[in-house]
Amino acid sequence: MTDKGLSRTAQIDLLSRTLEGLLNVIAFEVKGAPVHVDGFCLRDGEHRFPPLEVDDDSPVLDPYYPPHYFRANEPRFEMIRDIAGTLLEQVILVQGERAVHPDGFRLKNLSHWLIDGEDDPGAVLNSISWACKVKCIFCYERGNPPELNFPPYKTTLREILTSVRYFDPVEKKRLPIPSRYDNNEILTFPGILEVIRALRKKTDAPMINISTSGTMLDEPFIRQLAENKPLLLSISLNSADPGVRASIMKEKHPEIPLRSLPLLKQYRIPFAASIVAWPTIPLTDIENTVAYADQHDPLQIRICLPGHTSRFSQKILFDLEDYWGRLIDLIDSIRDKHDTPIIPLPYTYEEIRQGHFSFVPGVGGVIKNSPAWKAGVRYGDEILSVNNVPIRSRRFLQALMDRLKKEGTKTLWMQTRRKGKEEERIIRYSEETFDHQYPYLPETRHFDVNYYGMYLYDGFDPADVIRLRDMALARGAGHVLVLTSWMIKPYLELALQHIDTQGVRFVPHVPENIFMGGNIVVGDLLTAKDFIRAIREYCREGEKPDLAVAPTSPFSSWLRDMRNDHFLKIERITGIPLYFMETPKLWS
Amino acid sequence: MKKHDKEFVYRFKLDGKTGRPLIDDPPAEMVRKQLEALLKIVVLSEGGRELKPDRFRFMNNPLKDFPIFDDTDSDT
Repeated sequence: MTDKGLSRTAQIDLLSRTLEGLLNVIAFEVKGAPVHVDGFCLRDGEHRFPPLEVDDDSPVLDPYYPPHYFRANEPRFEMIRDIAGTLLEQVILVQGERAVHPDGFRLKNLSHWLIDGEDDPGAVLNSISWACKVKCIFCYERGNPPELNFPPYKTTLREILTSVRYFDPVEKKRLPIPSRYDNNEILTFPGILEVIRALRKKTDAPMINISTSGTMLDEPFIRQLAENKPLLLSISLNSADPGVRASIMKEKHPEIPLRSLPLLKQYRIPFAASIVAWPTIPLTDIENTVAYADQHDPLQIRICLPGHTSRFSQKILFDLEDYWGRLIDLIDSIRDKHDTPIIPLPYTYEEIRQGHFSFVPGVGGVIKNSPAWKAGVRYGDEILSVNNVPIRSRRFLQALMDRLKKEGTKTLWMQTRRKGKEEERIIRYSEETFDHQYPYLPETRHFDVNYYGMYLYDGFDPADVIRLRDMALARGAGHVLVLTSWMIKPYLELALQHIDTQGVRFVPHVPENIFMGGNIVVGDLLTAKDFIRAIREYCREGEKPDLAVAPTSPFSSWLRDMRNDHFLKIERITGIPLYFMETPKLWS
Repeated sequence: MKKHDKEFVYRFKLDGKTGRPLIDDPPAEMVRKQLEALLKIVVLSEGGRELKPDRFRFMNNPLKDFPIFDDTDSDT
């Protein structure tokens, strides 16, 4: 017994309570077979229990999950492993008169672990992990830092059917998804149609955002998908030229995904098309690809502005600002020729490039044949009022639209402005199927963040700065370091020019992304370590701030970054109080 | 019953790796690791105010406290 420290009695009591807590939710396993632990003895004491023998002829078991696959949405599995590990350093578990040496554990009751989600059955499909049939030259998996290089994992049919069984679209609950950072190609999974049929038996809700390279989308497959509508696909198109597509995606049969666009329209399955605008692809090819996609009426064409990590290439492969600028100029020059919304991602850069970034609530695109389209709303329109409510800011407009959408409001009277001219637009939404024309079908309402077919500009809101100021004043902080990203900083500076900071000195500062390196500029990909480094450097160069502000977007709902570091680490290491500011992800 | 009708079992490996010890006192180190594991997923509070503990001590020894977190990888 230690005089000053954990006494033997207290140690045994703690171990006993820990074990009891664990056994409520898990069963230990020996060689894959569950064991029924009924006691323990201390490792540093004497014991004479022979080891428990288990039957080596146990049936074939489901594979082990690495617990870190659940870090993003269920880190308690990892916590259980850690606590069980510390327990087993201290004790030998006992079953009857036999010593148990567990090599794993299993969850006792999956219904204890359901998490809140959406009613979207597509979210269940997204737990499928299966090899992609293409090997894109720009695939981010090639450039992941080692912390994100998880070993390949292949979903089993039994695993995904278990997820389907526990999916509750009414209560919006589902099993946690083993999320990883390598790519999932859902449609190449051998049992995909069986899974989709099982989900369809469970709910009529649309399956949204099924992402695919399109390699599986021949007519027989699309026909079977169509039997399970409503669903919405997101296709990596990248190039409409079979030769270019084959070379950048290392694909044997580019004609299949290219032919899938008219087939999807024929079978009335709405889809979005995405293009990764990699610099080796000629701009004329991107222009032709947009034109090809537009002919087949996708919901939107996303042009992903590229970047790469230092793992992808030590040498910076292109001047990001120059290349992104050329892409935005291209999008600007072709937008009027096409009906489909063309959305650069991250879209915030478009306003920065155009040099007129502002807080005016504007329309970033309108889905063809949607209620907003039929009312004449188009890209670039400013929204001044909705149902007689004056619109003060983008965030205000989104909140209002969210509410109207949720309440099922059928008619919107909008005051809009285009090229200085104010107009009234009446948007009418009907749930009658015959009122819907492809690509705006009833299920499209659920696709992405669109309001009656409109994509609205998001971004920074001046009200956020007012909230920051009030928070700083309440904490008595006169000097606030605001950690932000290259793309949000101009908005922040603009907002700071327009509000009375009441003496609070705000210093916007962009941390370097050391974790990703290369020319990655998206703030969502920063880590706690990047923030720590930025705060330390700032303090070294001058006065210590009273408070630091960091965005929530690089952190999961469990407040972990991609490296699994908790945001509280920033404050603990730097000694500077940290305020965590709610920010949407730029890619959403 | 078809092969796939049986429920998938969520299984995890115990690999015996619990990280390097920070405290040279196994019972105290066990408590530290448990606190570290817990504080990664819970926020303690007192009277509605969030607490951010980073050290602990045993109640029978107010003079000696121990770190909870291993932050040694956070150097710049």
